[in-house]
Amino acid sequence: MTKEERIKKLVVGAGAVFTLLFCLSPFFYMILTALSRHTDFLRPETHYVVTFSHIHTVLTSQSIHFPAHLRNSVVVSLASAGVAVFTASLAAYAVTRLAFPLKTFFMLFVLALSMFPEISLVGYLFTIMSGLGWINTLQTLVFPYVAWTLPLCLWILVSYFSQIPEDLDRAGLMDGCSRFGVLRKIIFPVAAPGVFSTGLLAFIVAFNEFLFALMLTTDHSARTVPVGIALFQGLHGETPWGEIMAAATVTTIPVVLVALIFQRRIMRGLTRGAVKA
Amino acid sequence: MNITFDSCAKRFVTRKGEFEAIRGIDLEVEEGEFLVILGPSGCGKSTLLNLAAGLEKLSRGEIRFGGEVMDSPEKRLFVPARDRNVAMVFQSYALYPHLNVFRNISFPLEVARKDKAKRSKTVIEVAGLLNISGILEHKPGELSGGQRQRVAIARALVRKPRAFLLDEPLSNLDVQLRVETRTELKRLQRKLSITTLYVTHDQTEAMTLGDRIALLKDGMLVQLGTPRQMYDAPGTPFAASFIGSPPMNLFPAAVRRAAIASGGTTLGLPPERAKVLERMRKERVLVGIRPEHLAVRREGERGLLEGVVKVVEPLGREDLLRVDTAFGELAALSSEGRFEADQKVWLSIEAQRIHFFELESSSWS
Amino acid sequence: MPVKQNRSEGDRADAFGFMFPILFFMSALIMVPVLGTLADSLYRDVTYLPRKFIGLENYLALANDPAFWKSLRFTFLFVAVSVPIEVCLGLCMAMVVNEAFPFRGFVRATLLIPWAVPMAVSGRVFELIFNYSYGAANFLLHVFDLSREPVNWLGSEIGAFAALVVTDAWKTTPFAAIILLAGLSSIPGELYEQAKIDRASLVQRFFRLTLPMLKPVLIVAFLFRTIQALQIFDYIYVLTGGGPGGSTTSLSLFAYNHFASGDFGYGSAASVILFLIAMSLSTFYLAGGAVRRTL
Repeated sequence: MTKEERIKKLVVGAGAVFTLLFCLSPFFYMILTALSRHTDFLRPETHYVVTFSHIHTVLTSQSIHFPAHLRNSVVVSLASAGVAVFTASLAAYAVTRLAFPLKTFFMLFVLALSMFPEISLVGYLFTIMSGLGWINTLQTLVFPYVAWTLPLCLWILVSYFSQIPEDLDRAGLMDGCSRFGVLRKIIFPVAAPGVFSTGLLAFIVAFNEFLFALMLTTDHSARTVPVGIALFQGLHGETPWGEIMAAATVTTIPVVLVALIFQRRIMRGLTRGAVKA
Repeated sequence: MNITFDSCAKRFVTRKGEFEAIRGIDLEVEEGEFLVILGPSGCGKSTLLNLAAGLEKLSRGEIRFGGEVMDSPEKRLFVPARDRNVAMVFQSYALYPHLNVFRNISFPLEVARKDKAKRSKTVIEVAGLLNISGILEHKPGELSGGQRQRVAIARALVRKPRAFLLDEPLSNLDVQLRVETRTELKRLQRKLSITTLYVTHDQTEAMTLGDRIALLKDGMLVQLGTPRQMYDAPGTPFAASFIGSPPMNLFPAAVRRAAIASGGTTLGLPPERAKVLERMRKERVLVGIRPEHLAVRREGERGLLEGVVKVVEPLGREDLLRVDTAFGELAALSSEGRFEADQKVWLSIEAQRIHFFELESSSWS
Repeated sequence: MPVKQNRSEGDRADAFGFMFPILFFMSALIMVPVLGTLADSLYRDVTYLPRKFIGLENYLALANDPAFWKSLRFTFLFVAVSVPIEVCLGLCMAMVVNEAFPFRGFVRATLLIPWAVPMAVSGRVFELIFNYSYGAANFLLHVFDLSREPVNWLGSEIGAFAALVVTDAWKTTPFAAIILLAGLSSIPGELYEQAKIDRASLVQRFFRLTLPMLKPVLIVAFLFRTIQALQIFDYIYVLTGGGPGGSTTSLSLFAYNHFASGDFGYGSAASVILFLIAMSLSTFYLAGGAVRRTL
């Protein structure tokens, strides 16, 4: 047995190293490039020189509009996460506590809709948004993002809410609350960690979304970071990798930090959301 | 405030079909009365309480508080829980885990938008009444079971409700605490004179706490009476065996003139009991006698029932003896404490305490 | 015993209020667009021409469009190659992280990083990695002496395909690992103890115990990954733009290109095809699940 155990230890060790390298190397490569004066620093003849000029350019340049993209992304993601969590909470409360017809049908409806490909929506969504005159505004993204993140939020919140004993609801009703009052004053506070995790996940999903943003926005007044970085081409044919990676770094470091800090919560939320299906 | 249940019925629709939890109950709870709703699991007692609370809706019938209709499907009237001004204590206490004791108790007042000073005053008053003034800062998670229960009661009383509904509030406490709290509850209710509906499956609680007991089985009211009445004059074998601990001995016997017989043995009856037996006009009856009304003697005498001790269960201040007799195995209580298994004994029956029931109705009135 | 299924009838009015917002969002912003796309696919809808109902002509045109078939082939090939790799590799990672070793928590945390990074961003990073002149990929090949000359990743069909698979794998393998890890940790440890006592070898334990118990999670992971992979768009747009020569154009990108050039009718038709493929897979999964549940 010990020989097997030794092999296992070796394999696990190698696997752990592999996993670390796998997950971290592109990320570090991005940071290294952002801080390097020369993009081709891997070439033996090029030295690695640290510079913050790329980051500086990206944050201050008037033509790249990176801060505008960042602002748009944050605003849109916050707004859609907020609305999505609120909407999903209402529905999750109803699903876990109230009797209404067609409940199973509704859950299947949500599940089915969550599997629709984005490309099958975006064409007509563009038509709708043009009709409303909303192309290239922030709300043109918030509404679709809410709808897009709702199924995930619903699954996760249903699993959190169903763990709160219904006696608490009854106590609240006896104490004079309306159903909505029970949700607001009792369920929300008690489920606060779960609600927070859901919001976090919704924020990240909205933040990272690409196709809707690509089609529904046209310039920096509403464009989000993923689109900004994707379209970042540089002016003279030479791709400004330094700046691109700088923008990428500035974008991803906060998100990664948040993900790492709340990793337990996020993982729990993700697995609840996925395994539920 | 009195509570009236008028021909009340409640039907639930589950995945497996329909289920009648309450089948037709008429009950009048008097103002200031402590009424215990007693019954085995599934008899509908919690449902009845929820109906009174407004957490459930009647399928048929009417519920009135002091004459005012709270729930009537026929009249399409339903007053929801939040508007009934009654309070409930749950078996799980259902304290709000995110609030400390003070805020738990003041919660109903906050919902009712009472001003802060008044809220504070009332909460402190009620906390004093229940001896929990010292734990107002704590959160429910930090409290013992007994403390949590008091907080639940305080929260219920803080709005000065017109009725007080309790759903098996003592089941989660350990036995010692249960006895103490029982007494306190009774004292509290007396002091406040508040109409109280108390649900339990524990007949001891029912007997010690209730002004009257409503015994339920399978969604119907089997018997209603004071504890004394329930004990002395159970109307059905079910009531007879449910009330009183240890449970009443119930055994079939053949009817003879002024006597009952089984397995070759005849037991004579005093004239008054004989008359009751005759009036029943049956050949066989179900006989009931409580263990406490069977005295165990070491020596035989005429008129005593012979038997052999099978099991001795010491209960502390007395022993429960299971005695094999011609009428089957009977339970008897003895404080002599000197009996052993396989010992031959003679049982002296308090004849006035013999009950007779019809044999066919094994569980129904 | 309180009957759990009982709920008051007054709930219904409340329920309507609680459910309305979500129904509004889902219907207006998902159901309606899909139906609209479906309708649009039956029209000649090009920006500079008047809108005209043409029935199934768009679909006929698609059937005769070699670019369409090319994108369909690519999409299927991509799914067939990347999903198994990702799920298997993800399983390996999950099994590794499931074991106890120093800094295990840290390793597990790093699994989240690829998921947290936006696809478009990771697309550009990999675009750089696979850069012909100074990318890390060619650098590594050179350092480990695996190739005589630098590979033109994004300029060749096979290279581009490989680069896309790697990029996709980077993002989704750790996510699959997270899901599978949850499945793994739900297998009670006592079963493994028992298997060890029964002298089952490592390999046997894996095939006889781990795999069967993971089956439901694996199926979910496979199905969901497949449906997601079918829709792939983000990094193809960024990395290859669909090239070289349209060889890496996924179905989504195919449809998008037509949208971008103003041909909404044709693009909608293509996206409807994708929709049908995704939906038949989902129904297959749901139906399979329902059958299993009733058994």
